[in-house]
Amino acid sequence: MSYMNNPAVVMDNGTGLTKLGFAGNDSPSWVFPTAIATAQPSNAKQTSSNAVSAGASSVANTGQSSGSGRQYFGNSTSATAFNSLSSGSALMSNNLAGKRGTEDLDFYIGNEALIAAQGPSYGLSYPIRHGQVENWDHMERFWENSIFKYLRTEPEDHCFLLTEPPLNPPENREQVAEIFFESFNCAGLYIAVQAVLALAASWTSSKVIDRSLTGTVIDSGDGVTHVIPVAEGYVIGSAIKNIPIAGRDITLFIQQLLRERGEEDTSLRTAERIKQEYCYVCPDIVKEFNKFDRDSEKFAQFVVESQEKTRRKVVDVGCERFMAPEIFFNPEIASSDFLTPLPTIVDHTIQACPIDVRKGLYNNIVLSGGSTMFKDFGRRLQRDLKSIVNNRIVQSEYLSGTKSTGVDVQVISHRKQRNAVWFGGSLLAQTAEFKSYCHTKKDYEEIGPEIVRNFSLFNMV
Amino acid sequence: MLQLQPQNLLVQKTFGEAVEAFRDGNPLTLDRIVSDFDSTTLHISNAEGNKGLLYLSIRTRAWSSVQRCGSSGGLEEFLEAKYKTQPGVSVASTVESGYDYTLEVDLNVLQPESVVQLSLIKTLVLSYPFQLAFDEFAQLSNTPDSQSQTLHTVQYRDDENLFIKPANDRITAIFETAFQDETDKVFGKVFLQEFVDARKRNRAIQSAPQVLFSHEPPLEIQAHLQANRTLDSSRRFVTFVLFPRHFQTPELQFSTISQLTLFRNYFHYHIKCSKAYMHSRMRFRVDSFIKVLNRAKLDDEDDEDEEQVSHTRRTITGRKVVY
Amino acid sequence: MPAYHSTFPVDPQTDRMVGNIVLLPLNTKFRGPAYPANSDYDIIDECLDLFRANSFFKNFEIKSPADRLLIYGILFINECLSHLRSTTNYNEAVKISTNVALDNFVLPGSSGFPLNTVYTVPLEDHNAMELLRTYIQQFRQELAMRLLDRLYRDSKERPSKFWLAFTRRKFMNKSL
Repeated sequence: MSYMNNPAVVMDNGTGLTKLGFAGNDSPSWVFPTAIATAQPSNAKQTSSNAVSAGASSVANTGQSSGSGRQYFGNSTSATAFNSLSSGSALMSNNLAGKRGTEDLDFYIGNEALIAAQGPSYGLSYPIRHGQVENWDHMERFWENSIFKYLRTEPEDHCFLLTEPPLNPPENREQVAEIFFESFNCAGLYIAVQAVLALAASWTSSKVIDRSLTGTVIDSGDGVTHVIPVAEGYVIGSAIKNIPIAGRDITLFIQQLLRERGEEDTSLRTAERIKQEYCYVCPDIVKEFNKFDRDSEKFAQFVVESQEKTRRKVVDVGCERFMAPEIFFNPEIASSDFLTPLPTIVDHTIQACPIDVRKGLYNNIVLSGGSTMFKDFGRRLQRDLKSIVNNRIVQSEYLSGTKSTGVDVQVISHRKQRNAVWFGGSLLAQTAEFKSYCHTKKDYEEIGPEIVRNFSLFNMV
Repeated sequence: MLQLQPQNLLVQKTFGEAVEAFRDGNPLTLDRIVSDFDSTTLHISNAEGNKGLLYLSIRTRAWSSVQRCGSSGGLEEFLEAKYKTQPGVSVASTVESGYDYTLEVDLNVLQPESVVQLSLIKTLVLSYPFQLAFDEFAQLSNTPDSQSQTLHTVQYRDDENLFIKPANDRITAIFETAFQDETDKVFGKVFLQEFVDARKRNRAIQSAPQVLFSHEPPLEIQAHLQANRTLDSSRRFVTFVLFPRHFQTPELQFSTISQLTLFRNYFHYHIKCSKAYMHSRMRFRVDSFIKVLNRAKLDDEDDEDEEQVSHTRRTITGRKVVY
Repeated sequence: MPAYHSTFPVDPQTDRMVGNIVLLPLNTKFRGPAYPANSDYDIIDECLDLFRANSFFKNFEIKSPADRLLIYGILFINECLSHLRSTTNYNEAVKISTNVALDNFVLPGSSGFPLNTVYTVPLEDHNAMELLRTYIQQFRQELAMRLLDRLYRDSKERPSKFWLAFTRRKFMNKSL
């Protein structure tokens, strides 16, 4: 079979960003927003097309369109009534199904979509909400363009590894399979849970000795932070916890601090760049403030904003360097309705899991996503979590009078954290066995979409 | 996106980023696999110990058959001639193992235009037999009544071939296509018929190459095919007849070649798009049927006694509150 | 890690107390009833150190009587900062701060103070109340001066904007 030599395609479609690439690479080839800009039904076009069918005068025109609208909303329940709708109904013109030309190919995805949407003729939409596909029409076309334009692959020749969020309903998997096997005829398909891939990505860290698929994944992107326990490759769904603090909140907090200080430029973009370039996690805020007082070097850093190289604005960067990521550990400094620190949430998550996997979960806490990239984030988390766990052990030893064997808390940071999910997918998809784990088009035709409800787990090498 | 672009966007982006990072003083460490249509793999990597030097290697299914079209070493010479003019691009002394051809790229002198040329490498490889055919055509057209025995075969997929036959007044490009999927076969038939018919219907595209479509291998290649193998009944043959007006200037030649070499991909891309379009119509139809069904739903409360009704709470719009 | 607490140990038996407020020793040249501290680091330094970190917090659990003094100190720093502008130079700031420190102020525990739930003082005992008033005044004067030292450390012309930025942050959502 020809597809055997071709590299597998790894696609991680997230709420905010899509990562596309080929197995065996160490970073995704394309990272762009999961956005699609579709042609908007421009009013001028619509009326002219109606005019063609209805006649010249605009009075007749409106009469006709409202007439067909009545027909639609009216009492008619017979299915055949819909046939008459195909004759240029105003209602259907919003949907692709009303189009008869090549409008279905008139769209842009990713960064091009953002640019196109600035003009009047395209409307932007995000087909994925909260990790799950909301608009399958858009998603199908998003994939179509990803495969043919950006990756330039003939899907018949490649196996695909896709990702899904934890607790994705199996029906969504079936939809994905229908699209990939029926529209694209892909050679093979594997759908992996994002958290499991993030665990696999941590195998590159030197701290990991045994390549197990047991661990707690802390996945923090732009919108939300998840704490997901995984035991032997299976997500413990009942224990998953979400934290409404993530990258965007940090950016907003930095912006707030900049405004309080009256900096020259307090745009979100500036705040985001400060976040990416300067922020780190400190062990103790008060000591860090004093360090800043003693060492003015730390304050003196600034971003030079060159807008079209004409004006330069200098923004001083102060305590937000360490205060901004602090909102993970002290949410009350930025939010008033969510007050539980991240280490406590992680502890609660693991405590909600079956007792026999808890040690493994404490022992292998894996970070994933851009908002966990702050320097010393892992170290601070490990320290805080360790003190929570140790306090509990001391207390239970005191109450029960027995000696505990101790719990080893270990947080694993590694260099592939930013695109950990994609990277884990790339690692797994380049193994020789990957193709045997995929469901093939032949299997799909034999059994049907429900075949993708189960995928065999990767063996731990 | 109606047309597929001839250049590989990812190669373009990778080299663009590499040049930028190199100029900024922190060169990238690259080891990137890039894929292209029809079992083509490109590999971009750093030269050992020199971050300013990149290798671009290509491996493509069509390589060995393209190589056979000309004299030995002809393809390499052809590519070298194409890339020699680009500053910073040269042919690597050794071909990377596992690949067919390797170029060496010096980031110090690489120009943006050359980046585009690098991203066209697959198209350039496939243009070699066309170039041979153009050359031969030039010879043949000078001597009328001459016949050529040349038939270039490009095996670009395991079971699909492209035949190029020059003659004294035309060049014929014949695609042999096969479908893996039954549904695709039906779509394909409609599309292929449309290629043939569109020219007849639309006067504006009269200057486009003539397209023929048949189940039987056309005369030009019949002898060749029968000699080589037995025929499979599911094959289709698409013939493009190129007249001199389609390849008079180098620009025309390039656009003809890049569109023809992408024909198969273009064709399959649109089959897939049509299926996606049909899926979206199906979803719309299912949604509207569900609306009909929901409207037809009986209010079960109506039949129940008064006591029960008092327990169901309704919102102001009449929706039931479900516990 | 919640907000920071005072590290000064307080023993209600031996330390001077007015109600549940402790009158910790201060290093100061201002006249008043406070005993001189026996180390360089006193509660005023602590207030200044913890001010910026604690300003971010809205919840604070009082663990010792010294924390009550800490709260008062932090709120007073905020009060001082709110009287300064980014163009005020050191000499002007000294005048303004002295006025703020000596101004008529509400004693913790007496009516009108924002955090009376945590302060209890013997309102009828005039001697004790007078002691508290003079102590707080001394505390305010010293704190204001040392705050200005920090504010104008880099330049006598204008206060540090990194300090002034905290004007709008309200510790425990309260202000004096």
